[in-house]
Amino acid sequence: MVNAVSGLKEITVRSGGSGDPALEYVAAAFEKETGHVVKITYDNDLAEAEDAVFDVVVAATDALNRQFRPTGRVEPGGIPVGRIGLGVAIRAGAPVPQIGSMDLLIQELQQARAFMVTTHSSGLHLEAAFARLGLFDLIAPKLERFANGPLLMDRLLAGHGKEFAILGMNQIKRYEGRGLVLVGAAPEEVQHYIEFVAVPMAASSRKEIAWDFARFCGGPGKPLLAANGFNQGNATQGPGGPGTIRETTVQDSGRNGIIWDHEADFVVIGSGPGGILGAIAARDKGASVILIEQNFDLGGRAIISGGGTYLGGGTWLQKQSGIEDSPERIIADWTTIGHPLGRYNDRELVWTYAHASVATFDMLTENGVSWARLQKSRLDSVPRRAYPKKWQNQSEIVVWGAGEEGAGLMRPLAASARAKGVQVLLQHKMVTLHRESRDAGRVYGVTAALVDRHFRPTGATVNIRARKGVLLGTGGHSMNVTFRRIFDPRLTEEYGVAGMNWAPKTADGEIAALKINASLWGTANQTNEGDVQLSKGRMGCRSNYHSMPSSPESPHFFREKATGIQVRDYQNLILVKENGKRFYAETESKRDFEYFAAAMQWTGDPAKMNGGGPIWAIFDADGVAREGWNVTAPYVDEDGFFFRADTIEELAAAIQNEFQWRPMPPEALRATIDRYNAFVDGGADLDFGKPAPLHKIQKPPFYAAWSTPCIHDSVAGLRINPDGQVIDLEGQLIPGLYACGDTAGGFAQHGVARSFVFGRLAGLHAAAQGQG
Amino acid sequence: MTPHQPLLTLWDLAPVPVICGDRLRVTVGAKCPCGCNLADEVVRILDSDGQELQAVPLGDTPLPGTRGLYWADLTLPAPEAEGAHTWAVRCQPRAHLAATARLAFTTTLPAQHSLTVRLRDTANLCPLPGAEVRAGSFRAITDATGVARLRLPPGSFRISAWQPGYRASPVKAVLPRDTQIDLTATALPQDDPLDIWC
Repeated sequence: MVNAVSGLKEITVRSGGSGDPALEYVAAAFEKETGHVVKITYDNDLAEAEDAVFDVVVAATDALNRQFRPTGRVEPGGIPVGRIGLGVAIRAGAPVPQIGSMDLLIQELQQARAFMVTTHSSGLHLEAAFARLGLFDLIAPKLERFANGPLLMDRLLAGHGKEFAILGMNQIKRYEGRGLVLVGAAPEEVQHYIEFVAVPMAASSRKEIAWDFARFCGGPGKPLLAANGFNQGNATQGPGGPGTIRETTVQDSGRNGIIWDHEADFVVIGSGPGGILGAIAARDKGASVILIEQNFDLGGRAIISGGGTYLGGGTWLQKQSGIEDSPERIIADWTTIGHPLGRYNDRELVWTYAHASVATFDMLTENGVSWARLQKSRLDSVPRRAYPKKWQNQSEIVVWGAGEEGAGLMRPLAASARAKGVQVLLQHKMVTLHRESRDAGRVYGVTAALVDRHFRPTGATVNIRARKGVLLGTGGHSMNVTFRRIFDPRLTEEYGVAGMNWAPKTADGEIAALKINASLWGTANQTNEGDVQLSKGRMGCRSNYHSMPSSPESPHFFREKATGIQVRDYQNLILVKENGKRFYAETESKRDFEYFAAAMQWTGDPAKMNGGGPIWAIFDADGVAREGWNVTAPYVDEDGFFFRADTIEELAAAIQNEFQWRPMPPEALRATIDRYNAFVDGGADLDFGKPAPLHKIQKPPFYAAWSTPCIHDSVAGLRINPDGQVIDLEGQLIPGLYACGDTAGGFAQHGVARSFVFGRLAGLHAAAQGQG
Repeated sequence: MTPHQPLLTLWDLAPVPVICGDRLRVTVGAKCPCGCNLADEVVRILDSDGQELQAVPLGDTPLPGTRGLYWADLTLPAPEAEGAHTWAVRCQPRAHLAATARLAFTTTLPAQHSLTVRLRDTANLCPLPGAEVRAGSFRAITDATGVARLRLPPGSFRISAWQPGYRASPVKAVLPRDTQIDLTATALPQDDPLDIWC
């Protein structure tokens, strides 16, 4: 602990060498704990600052010994804060070099377009090391030198093809999340560590606080330094506890020299249904578990869902309700060839799901879920879909309405997980899966980036070792435009996603696994048009899934911005494309895939031939009155998703949105409305067959509301076996890697049940493994 | 300086349909995109031959809820002839370009017969109250017993009904006399959000 010091003061710190920016995180933590203010000055050459007086110097040991200690400018001793080694970095998306040995590294260097170093000590050391090994001539043709790290980064990030850099780990960490990816530590033959020490200056007038800060750097600040590139050496393992992360750092030099900030038997990515039940299952079997969640709260998308859980086969709730069911009946239902939701499923996964359903349901019950009712829906031939009781603690509900049942499902499980000792790391997003090599060996850990409350990387990362396995429960891919277009090229940027501001489904699990040779599976399900891959959505807001209106009281409303408005009767509006023209009968169902196809049809954007652009609902003052809408904030988002004007022509001109590639032609919208109004007079829609068009759009003011279709389910993902283990492109297991829920493919069942089943099975399987 | 051109909009044409030789009402609004005050500027109604039927000044305050739409209510004699008509609404405020809008409407003969439409649910034949029944441009709402009553001129009509959540196939009716028809509507599959959002 830091000593209690009366009187808050500012201390000055000189950071020498390449100690930035990790020190800023430590300084911020110190300020938070003590109230003192820390002012840091950076200088890469302490020798040029011989006269400056600071309270503390944080510098490389040799620099201190050379420049400060001979003249007594710093106090004797000092606090070791760690060391910085050299790492290999690439631009995100560039080919990943194999750097497990010097031979591999040399091969990669010869094949690379460029190999970048700085002219600072790290680069000088590298060149000397290659020369010492007699290898300099091999790398010289590819060598590019830069005066400092930022210049190198600019060049690397702007480049293309196979290029990489070797430089200080802290510099690499600084650029992670901004397009740079750490491949791993440089091989030992060329590795170079710089030891750093924090020590007060002899002339400091605030020496007591200066020593506090130095001790803080070497103590509580160490994990922050470690997260930003400092190698802490071999640290001891502290005790873990519910809801906490051990402040542990372990060097695992056998595996690319990754420095582990935390470790556990089982590391779970994502706290949705599969992740949280997998975590509990492993913990029940005695495994230590770390659960990473990118949001500031647990529960994933399930906690804003209706909580309906397809688990049957003879559950106690079914028996209590007099319903006869069996695993065989589930299999028959969910492999039916007569429906797209059954036709393309992996029979092996359905068999497993059917036979594991009762045990999964029992486990949910044992961990606190109370059930309210059963429903028969989709392919079920008997009622199987169990709904939890609504959660009563209003402060723990995220979305009122359907989400009260979602909270009833996930709040008890989250509480149980914490109580059983699952360690939780919130606001962390997995960025890398570590495997022994790209296509062989175990998965043995992850790197996760600390994100802010808008899911943006802060620059800090942690490495977490997984002794027995990693479970990917990252929620699917629907929000990753590039990834979702693998399945349907029409799904370009304009289409929003259900729950996008609470649980972004950005394919991070799938992408990380694909990078280590995992296979996708069951891709036909993603486009089978049998369920809720798309929906018509609410209006007037970007996050517009139809049954999830987030009220302003919702804890993530700062990300939602508007509740949106729900349509009671599509007779009260028309829908037009970016060109101001109607394209379909507005009254068709919110699941009509013919409607979606028309909505996504190209209308002339010369720069973008896929995706149909925005869909706008156009209505008038009478329409607002009939629907009873409130068309002001926070019900509508007037920052690009809702517009009003006194005339039709002005309305068209007012529509400005990032996805509207040109201004809507006013004359086109006027012509559309004149024609539609004529249909209302005549009683028949001669263009699209809207039944008995009822209401003209005529009374000012006029409105345009975002009504672009919304994407929902991911039902294609990673290939898994019945234990949830991920399988690679050769059909072989990837040891230590599991997936569940929307991250996994092969089973076109909407909702939480398949997540629960395979998350649980993964947890049980991993817990039974030996340590990797 | 380039003169501004106002934008015109028309609403609340009544009755629907317009009865031959009767009167029709319509509201005309004019807006200068540059925000000019158009109070007391004149709008003129011209028939299909270009003859001015009426000229009225716009009011002195914008329509509530708008930023600057000046407006006026007009009442005009309807044409004697049955059929489709297109008139012009013209406005040229001082120092502005002229603007013209189209006023299109249909006239019908006065109603002579009654049409009683009984709307029921296809599945259980229960009456469907609150549904909108259309016979061309004539319309009525079904009452608690699922019945809508319309007054129509002689002729042939396409009878349709609209109730959210239902689909009714239109039927054709010829009215040489008072007539009663039965219409059924089929409930669409329920779009229960809970069924969609797990």
